[in-house]
Amino acid sequence: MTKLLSVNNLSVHFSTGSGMVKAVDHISYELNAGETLGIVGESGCGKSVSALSLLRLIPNPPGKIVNGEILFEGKDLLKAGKEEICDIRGNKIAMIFQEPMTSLNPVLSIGQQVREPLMVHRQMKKKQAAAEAVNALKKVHIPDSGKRVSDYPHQFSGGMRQRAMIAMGLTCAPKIIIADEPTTALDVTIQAQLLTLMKQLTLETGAALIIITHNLGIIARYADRVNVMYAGRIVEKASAADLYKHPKHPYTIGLMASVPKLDQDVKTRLQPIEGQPPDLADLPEGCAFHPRCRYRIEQCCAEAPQLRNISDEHEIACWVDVK
Amino acid sequence: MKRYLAKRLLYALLILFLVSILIFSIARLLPGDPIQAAAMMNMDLANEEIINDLRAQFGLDRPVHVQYAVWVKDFFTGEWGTSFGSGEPVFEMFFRRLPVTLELFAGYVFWSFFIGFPLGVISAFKRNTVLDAAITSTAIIGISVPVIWEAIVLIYLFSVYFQIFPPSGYVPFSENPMENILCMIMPTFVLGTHTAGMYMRYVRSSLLEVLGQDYIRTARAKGLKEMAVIMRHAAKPAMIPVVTVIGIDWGYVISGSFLVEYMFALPGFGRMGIDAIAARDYPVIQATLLIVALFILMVNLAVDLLYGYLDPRVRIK
Repeated sequence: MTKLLSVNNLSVHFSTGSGMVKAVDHISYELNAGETLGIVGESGCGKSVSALSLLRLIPNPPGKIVNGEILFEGKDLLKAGKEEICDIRGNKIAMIFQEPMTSLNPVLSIGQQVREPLMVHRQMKKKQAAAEAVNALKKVHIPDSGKRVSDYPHQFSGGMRQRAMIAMGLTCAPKIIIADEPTTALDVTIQAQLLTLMKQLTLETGAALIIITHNLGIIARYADRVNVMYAGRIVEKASAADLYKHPKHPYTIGLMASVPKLDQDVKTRLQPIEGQPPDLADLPEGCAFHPRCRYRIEQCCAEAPQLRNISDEHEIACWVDVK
Repeated sequence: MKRYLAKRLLYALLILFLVSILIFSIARLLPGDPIQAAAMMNMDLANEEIINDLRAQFGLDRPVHVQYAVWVKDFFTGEWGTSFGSGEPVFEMFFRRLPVTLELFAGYVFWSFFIGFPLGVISAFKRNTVLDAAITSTAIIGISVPVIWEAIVLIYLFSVYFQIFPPSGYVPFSENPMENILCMIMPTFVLGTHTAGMYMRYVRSSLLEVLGQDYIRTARAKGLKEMAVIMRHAAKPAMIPVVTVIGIDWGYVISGSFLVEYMFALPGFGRMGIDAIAARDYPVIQATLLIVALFILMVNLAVDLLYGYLDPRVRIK
């Protein structure tokens, strides 16, 4: 498989009232053409920040990319000029945001917003781009799209708004689509519809997809490979199938155990992960997960583990080999 | 949009009707009537018979609702009556003074917009810098300084000390354009100071709020250049709260303009209105108030329409 994107040693820091927060701390991962990568973790673990930094959309101040490189088509995006990065945004790498209510501009019509990338990146005239926008909406199954294209976001339902977001993201046939919690605000049936649609559209265009979510079910169903993040670091990397069969990092094991399964006995109790996610401004020594970890050994409190291979294509950042 | 427009217009007419009743009654609720007021100044008139004759002559002996109907009809036909004080037709008095007040207002709009808006935008983009702090402090001074004090200081500085501008008085533009502008600079500036400060504050905070919205991030993620993000995605939503303030200020500035006309001895209709109230000159009071009310209503209507233009959520339900 061809490597499309590689992120090396990326660190993003935020300066806050309570000090420097390492939102993303030396993460590295790769994305191959056409695959779907899931990034999973609790809120505040740095998954959205790591995605936003790919397009350098971290608000600065307070955020700052302090270290690393993001190689895309042989170029380091972190060193690209303003023009260059604008040329990539929405064109080669597109982003689909969570909260379609607030992520669409309330004073511009859906059509005006969907056609914008085409006018910027394909130098299309307004008329042609408008016609394309109708097509794009048709592709995401907006009924009566020729008419609804001139509607405003408040006239769309939540699901339709997210479809419009997807249409907007896909207009320029990007190589990478980053979907940041694309279905968080929607109900379950619509979630499934949208994800299937997104997956299908990416298969058609051969685009790679990065899905960021806290929902393990979505990852299991749609991702090829998974990065599990905790407190700004990647703690486990594996293929989706492998991860579900053999989760190895204690945090991943804990996550799996805390999700109810439909086929499980009613009397089985869910096992939550004890304690709270750590304060990123005041991380514990050693492995950030050790205060909540059932398997911790002395070394965990002293030294942070690096990612290591435990089998082919399966890495964990843990000192312990959980059986 | 058409329905929205029709609804706004209907509301405006209804309010105009209520306001006209209010204006008509207020003048009549003041103790005494114009004949009595005149009689107090001129003892020759202090005669029961003469007073009754005069009342009949001005229609003051008729029932109140008839007086109202006559007044409304006359207002729309340009028959605004004659001033009880000067005997001049009120309609002519108004249109002679209108250019002065309009010019004062135009200057006010000029100063408040051209100071308030750019400073607000600069301050938002240079947020939390020394420049931002300087602009914000200036704005607060502008908002807090009383018109009277500012007028006196400016007159002292620019008329007495530097002798650049005339301290008071008015020269029509048609007579001498240069002198006309010189004599209007200080009054319009004084009138615009407060509003410029308000605009600056509102533009700054509104723009900052919009720039922090998710849809601005979406716009950036599409690959739009910063200028396009601001002009296409931020400008319209940022204007919505500012338009509200413009509407309120334009209504409010009328009282300020009355004061400024007095301070700088400008023959606009603010002065005329105040003099008329002192003399209980009903036709002039009523016409002044009605014109002011009409103006405020029109401003509000314009603000409503502007909302509709700026925000589709208002226009389309």
